[in-house]
Amino acid sequence: MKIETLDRVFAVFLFLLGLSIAYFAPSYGYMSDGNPGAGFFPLWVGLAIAGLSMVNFVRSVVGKEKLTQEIALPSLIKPVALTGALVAFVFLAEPLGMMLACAALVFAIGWIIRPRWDRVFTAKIVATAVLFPVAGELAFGVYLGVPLPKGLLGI
Amino acid sequence: MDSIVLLLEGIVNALSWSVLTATLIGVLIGLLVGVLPGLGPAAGVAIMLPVAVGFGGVEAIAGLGGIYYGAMFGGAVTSILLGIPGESASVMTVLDGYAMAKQGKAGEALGISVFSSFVGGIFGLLVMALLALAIARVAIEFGPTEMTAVMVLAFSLVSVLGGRNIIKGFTALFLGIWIGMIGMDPISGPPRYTLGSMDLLDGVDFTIIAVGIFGLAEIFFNLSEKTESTRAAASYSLRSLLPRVSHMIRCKGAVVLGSIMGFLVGVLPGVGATAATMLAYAAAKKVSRTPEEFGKGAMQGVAAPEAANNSAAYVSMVPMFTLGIPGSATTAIMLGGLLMLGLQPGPLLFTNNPDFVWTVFGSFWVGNVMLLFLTLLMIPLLASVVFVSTALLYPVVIGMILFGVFSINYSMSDVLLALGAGVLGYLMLKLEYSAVPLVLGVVLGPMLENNVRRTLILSEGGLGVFFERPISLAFFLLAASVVLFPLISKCWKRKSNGT
Repeated sequence: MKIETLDRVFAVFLFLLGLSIAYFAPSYGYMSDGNPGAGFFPLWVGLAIAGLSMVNFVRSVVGKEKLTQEIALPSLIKPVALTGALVAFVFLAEPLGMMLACAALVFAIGWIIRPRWDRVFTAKIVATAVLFPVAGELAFGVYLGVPLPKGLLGI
Repeated sequence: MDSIVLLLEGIVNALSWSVLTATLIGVLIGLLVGVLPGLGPAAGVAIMLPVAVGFGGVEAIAGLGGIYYGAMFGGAVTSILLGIPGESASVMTVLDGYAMAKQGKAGEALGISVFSSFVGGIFGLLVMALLALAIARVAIEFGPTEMTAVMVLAFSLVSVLGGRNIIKGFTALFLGIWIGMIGMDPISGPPRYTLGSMDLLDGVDFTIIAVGIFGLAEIFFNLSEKTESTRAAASYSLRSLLPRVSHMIRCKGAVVLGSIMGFLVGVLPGVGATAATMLAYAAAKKVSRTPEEFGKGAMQGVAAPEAANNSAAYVSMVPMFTLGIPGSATTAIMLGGLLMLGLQPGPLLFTNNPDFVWTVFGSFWVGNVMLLFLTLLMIPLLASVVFVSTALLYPVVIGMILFGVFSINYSMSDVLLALGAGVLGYLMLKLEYSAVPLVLGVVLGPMLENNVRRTLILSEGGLGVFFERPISLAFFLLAASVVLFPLISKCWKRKSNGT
C-alpha cells in the first residue's frame, strides 16, 4: 500500500469517526434551559474532526500533502508480531500470572527483534526473563501493593 | 526582606537529622516514581501518605513534597533515555530529549534536564516563599471565564507545536479533546462514548495515552525502521555521557523562560505542571532563532519544559498552603496530609504556624539541592542504558510499561488501551500527524469544556462575557495573534516575492 493511500484511508476513518461523534452527541443532551449539556462540546468537536479530516483528504487527493515516510509491507512484520505478542500477554496474564506471562513475553519480544540467538545472547535473554518479572513483582506487587494477577500456579 | 530571613531560618531548621532523612527518603521515592511509566507523583504521594503522616509534623510534608518534586526530576530520565514519559509532566521532554539520546548525547540531555530542573525549582521556591500570599490573591481572580481564555491560548499554540501541517495538527488536537471526553460527564453525569464499558466510565487516564502514543509507538516505529545499526554506531566515551557547562550556559534563556512559564501557569488552580511544560516548550520554540531544530534534538527543547515542570511543581503548592485550594491531584493529597496533621491551610497557617511553614519551605530547598547531586552522580550510569541492545532493552521497557499501566486501575483493559494508543501513535508518526496537539487536547480539553460550560451557565448562555472581562479579553487577543500573525506574515512574504 502506498503511504498516500494510507493517508487517505486514515482521513476517511477520522471523517467517519467525527460524524459518529457528532451524531451521538445530542443524545447526551445538547442544551437545557439555555445551559450547555453533556452533548454540547462533543457535537462541535465531532464536526471539527470531520471537517478537518475532509480537508486533509482533499489535500492528499490533489497532491498538496507530500509525505516523506514509506509503508512497505515487510517493515510491518515486526510491529504486527509485537502487537500480537502484547495481545496474547493480556489474555495469558490471568491464567498464567503476571510473572510467567511477562517472562514469556520477554522471550517472545527478544525473538521478534532478533530471531537468531547465539549462546551469549541466549544467556542474557534467559537472565532478563527471570530477573525482570521478579523485580517487577517485588517493586509493584510487594512494595507498592498492586494486586498483580497470580495465575493458576499462584505465582 | 522578612521572608528571606524566615526562609534562611527555615533552611537551617530543615538541616536537622529527622527532616533531612525524611527529605532524602522522599526524593529517592520520587525519583523512582518519576522513572516508572504509569506511576505519577499523585500515586507516589498517596501510597506514602499513611506512612509519612505517622512521622508527624514537618517530616511528613517534607517527605511528601520530596516525592512530588523528585518525580519531576525522575520523569525526565525515561523520557530522554527511552522516549517514554515517566510521568505526564515529562511528555514534552521526550520530543528533544529522546532525539538527543539517539544522537549519542544522552548524558548531555540528562545534564541539561537536571540543571534546568534545579534552576526552575529554585525559581519556583523563591516565588513561593516571597510571594505566596500576593500570588494567591491574584490567582483567585481567575474564574471560569479567564481559565477558558487561558485554555484557548494554549490551544492556539498548536500553530507552533502542530508540525509541518497545521490542519493535521488541529485534527490531532480535536481528536485528543474527544478522547478526554470519554467517560462520565463531570457536570451533568451521563456516560459519554463508553460503548457500555464499565472500564471507560472513569475516562481514559492521560498516562495510558501518553505511554502508548510516545512509548509504544516509538518502539513500533524503530522496529519497522531498522534503527539498530544507528544506535550501535553512537560513540561511547565517558565524555559523551557527561553534561557540559557550555551547554547549560547556552540554554540559560530557555531555562529562564521555562521557569517563568512554570510559575505563571502552575499557580493557576487545577492547571498543573503538564500544561505548564507544554506552554513553555511552545514559547521557547516561538522565540528561538532556530525553531526548526525543535523536535530534532534542540537542547532548549529539553531545558524549557524541565525548568517549567519543576517551577510549576513548587508554585502549584501556593494555592494549597495559602488558600487551602489544591492546584493538582498531588497537592490535593498533600492537603489531606496537612489536615491529618491537624493543620488548617490558609493565610492563618503562616501566622499561627510560621516555624512549620518556613521549615517545610526550607526542606524543599534542601531537597532540590539533594536531587541535583543525586541525579548528576547517576547520569553516566543512566546514560549508558542507551547502548544496550534493543533485543534486551525493549522487553524490559515494554515490561515496565505493562506493570506501570496495570498499576493505574489494576485492569488489563488499560494495557489494551495503551496498545491501541501505540498503534494510533505509530500511524500518526507515519502519516506526519503531530502527537503533541493530541496530548494537549487530552490534558486541557476537559478543563476547557468544564470552564466553558460553567461560564455559559453563570452568564445564562451569553457569549459576550468572554470579551467583557479584561483578563479574558487579553488572553483571547493573544491567542488570535499567535494563530494569525504567522499566516499574515506568510501572505505578506508571498506578496513581496510576487512583486
